[in-house]
This record gives sequence, C-alpha cells and structure tokens, in this order.
Amino acid sequence: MILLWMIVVLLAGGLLCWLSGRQSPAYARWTALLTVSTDMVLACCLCWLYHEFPDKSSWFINYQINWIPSMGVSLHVALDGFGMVLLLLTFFLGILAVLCSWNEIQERAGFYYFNLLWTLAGISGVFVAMDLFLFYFCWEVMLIPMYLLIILWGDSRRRYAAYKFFLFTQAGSLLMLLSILALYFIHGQQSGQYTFDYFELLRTTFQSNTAWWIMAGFMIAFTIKLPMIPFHNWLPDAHSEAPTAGSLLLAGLLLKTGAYGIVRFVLPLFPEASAAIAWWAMLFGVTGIIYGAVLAFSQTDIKRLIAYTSVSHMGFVLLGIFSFSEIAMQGVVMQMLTHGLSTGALFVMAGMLKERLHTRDITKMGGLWTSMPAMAEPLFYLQWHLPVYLCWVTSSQNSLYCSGPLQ
Amino acid sequence: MLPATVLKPAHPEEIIFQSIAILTTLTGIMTGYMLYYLYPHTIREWKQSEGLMAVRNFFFAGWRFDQLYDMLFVKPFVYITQISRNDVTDKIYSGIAEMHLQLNRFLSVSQNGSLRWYVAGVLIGILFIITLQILR
Repeated sequence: MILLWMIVVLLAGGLLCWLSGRQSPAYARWTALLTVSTDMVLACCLCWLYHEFPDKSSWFINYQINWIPSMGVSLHVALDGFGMVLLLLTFFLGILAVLCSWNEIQERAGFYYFNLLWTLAGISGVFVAMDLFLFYFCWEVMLIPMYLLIILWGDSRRRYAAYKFFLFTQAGSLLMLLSILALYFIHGQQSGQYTFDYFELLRTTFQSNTAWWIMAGFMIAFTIKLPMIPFHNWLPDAHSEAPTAGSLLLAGLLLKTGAYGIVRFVLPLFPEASAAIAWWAMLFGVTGIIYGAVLAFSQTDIKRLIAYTSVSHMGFVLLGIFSFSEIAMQGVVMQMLTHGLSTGALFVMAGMLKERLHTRDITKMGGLWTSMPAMAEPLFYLQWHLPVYLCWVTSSQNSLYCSGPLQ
Repeated sequence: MLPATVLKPAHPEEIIFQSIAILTTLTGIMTGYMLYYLYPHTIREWKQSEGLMAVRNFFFAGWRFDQLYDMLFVKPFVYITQISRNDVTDKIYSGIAEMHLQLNRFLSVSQNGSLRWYVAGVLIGILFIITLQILR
C-alpha cells in the first residue's frame, strides 16, 4: 500500500502545485518540495522495513488490488532491493530537481511543477509496478510531462528536441505495447487466465521464434531509453535543450528506467532469447562506449558533452547486463546509481553556468577558476574525479567480468 | 640498509650493471672535460658542420617526440572526432524526416483544388474495387 501512496502523493502534489501556482509561484515551489520530501521520508522508512525483512534477496513489499478485473489488470506493486535503491535515487534527484528550478522557472511555475512531479510519479511507478499494464501506464505518465517540460521551458531549439524525444520514445513504447499485448494473449491462451501480472507472465513458455519477436519489442523500447546507439540521437538534443531539472531527471532517472526494464523484464521473461542476442547487445554496448566518448570529446556545448558521456556510460551498463555474471550485474546497479548522481550533478552545474553566462559554449567559458571559484572546483571534481572514482570501480568491475566470456 | 637486489639466475651479476652505469657516467664527465677544457676548438669546428648541427638541434628538440606523437596519435584522433562532430547517425533520422517531407511535396501536387482531379481519383477507386469484386 505504501508504494501506491508514494505515487498518489506525487500525483496529488502535482495537481496541488498546478492549482496553488495560480495564486503564487512560491506556493507551487513549496508544495512541490514538500511533496517530494514526504516521499523521500517514506522511502527512507522503507529502508528499516527492508533491514527487518529476514530474507534480503526477495520482495519485501508485495501489494495487489484489482484495477480493471475484466481485463486482468491489477494495481500490483512490489519492491526488492534493486527497486529500493532506484526509488531512493528517484526521490533524492527529485528534491534536487525541485530545488534547482527554484529561481530558474519564473513562467507558469505551477504547471511546471505539475509536470515535474508527474514525471517523478511515472518514474517511481515504473520502478515498483509488477503489472505490465500498470508498468506501461507509468511509462507513458513519465514521458508526456517530460515532453511538455522540454517544449515549454526548454532552450532555443526546444521544439526540435522535444519532437525528437517524443517520437523516439513513443516509437519504442508502441513496440513495447505490442509485445505486452502479445505476451498477454499467449499467456491467456496457454493458461486460460488473461492477466498482465508479472509473476504470472513469468510462467509463460514460448517457442523460440515468438520469444525472439516479443523480446525485440521490449528490447527496442528499453534500448531507446538506455540509450544504445543507433537509438541515442534523441538524447543529446533533449538533454541540451531541456531546462536544468529536465536534464537532471532525463540523465539521472529516465535512462535508468531503460536499464531497469532490461534487468527486470527482458532477462527473466526471455532468458534463452536474451542469451542468444547477448553477443550483439555487448557489441552495441562497446560501440556505444567508444562512440559516445569520441563524440563527447568533440563537443563544444557543455550540456551536449555531458549527454554524450551518458551514452558512453550507459554502454557499460548494457555490456554489464548482457555479460550474465553476478558481479557484473552488481556493477551495473552501482553504475546506474553513480551515473545518476554524478551526471545529475554535472547537469545542475551546467545549468547554473548557463544561467549565469547565458551560453553553453565551452570555448567562451575560460577562466572560471578565478571568476567563479566556488563553482569551478565542484565542476572540476565532478567532471574528472567523481566519475573516475565512482565509475571506475563499477566500469572495471563490468569490463573485467565481461572479458571473461569472451576469452 | 636496503636489501640487495635479487636478480633472476639467468641474468649476470648485479655488479656488472652497476659498473656499466658508473662507466657511462665517468665517460660523460671525461667527454665534457675533453671537449670544453682540453680541446675547446673542436666544438667550434663542429659548429661549422651542418650535419652535426642538425643532430644537435634534433637532440635539443627532445628527439622530436612531441611532433611524432602529434602525428601518430593526436592528429588522427582529433580528425576522427571532427568528422562526426554532429553525430553521423543523426543523418539516418534526418534522412527519414527528409524523405517524408519529399513524399508530402510529391503527393500534395494532387491536392490542387480542381474538382476534376478528385472525381478522377474517386472513379479510379471505384474501378479498382469493382475489378477486385469481378476477379474474385
């Protein structure tokens, strides 16, 4: 129940922001901050519950009520350790997102925070939903407010970026919807019980050909989100044109939903089919690492630079997931967290710089160390040290264990 | 006191390496003494010769390692990154968009407001359906 409350709190808080934003933007800000903080507190309380739970490897919250019984849709939410850390990351970055748009957003603040909170609600829903219909619903709830954030409060090329983001992610969602429906009907025919429940669907058996096609639908949706090259093109544009909080949520959380989806849905539902494409996924992962890094090197726009490093880092995640080893998988989770924190922080810094300098061009940003020492130092550390400290461990963990099967 | 360096048995004794190092150092000091103190005119003679001056400049430029690495590693890397600065894979998607714009231009020719075209279109459609029905 508490998980559903978290989502409901965010959704209701969003509506409240919209309403109170008409009176004064300050109300909207404080409502948003309070809402996300409430969820953060709730999520922290869950930590105790998690520690008291005897078996630390399984679902410590599992709650299900009917939603649309005639179609076999239920509000089934569950949480394990993996979902837990991602939920904590979501609310932490959510608080940061609210705070970093405190002064930046002056126009239509109420509607802005409505969108921000609904995106967060969608993201936290994605991390806890164990019903594929609910999952898909949350997936869309996260995308559409994000699109509005980019197109309404973005930078100069915001229309182009927002359309691109929307088309890419919607194309992926459509394929995922088809896959979910195929899964639903195949399972229904096999067992006579039509349901979207994740744990029920796990028992479906497929012919290898069918499994491959259904998996492809899920994989494309998730790899667009991840992003894997050649589906990464929405990312640099969306990241660089979005407002600061938008970039923060995109980099810190939306990319993680792709990785989460692969780990949670693709691997358990289609173990053989995913083993069959592992080689290709790893190849694309490595290509993404190198291609992203090379492109990041040649960027002069600070936000595009960070965006391309995201492509590179998420390549490590893809590589780790498809190496099918336990330590690489732990590395993947670590990488998701560290990337969320460090890249999110970098986007906040880039947003601050942009707000002060009114440009994103690095070539015009010389001498930050003397003019803004308080700013330059964290930027320096984040840009070089933090990713090195945090990601080095995880990346090397990944790459060490990925090299195992190749040898 | 530091422990003595233990070498693999296949290698000669440590003392041999030590003496090579000492000899090299002493030869250097000796050469300096001879060139700058005993026979200073030799250097003046060397400075006249072009070949030796080239060698001297080569040494002074740090064996030109900077230029070598610049050519070998830096320039190709920068070149590669500059080629796809604006992301070549973007061309796939802008190509798709461009194709649809072309199709739009191509097909919107038929939407010209003259009724004849529309009637002809409807007639072609009717003919198509009737043909299908007859041939079935």
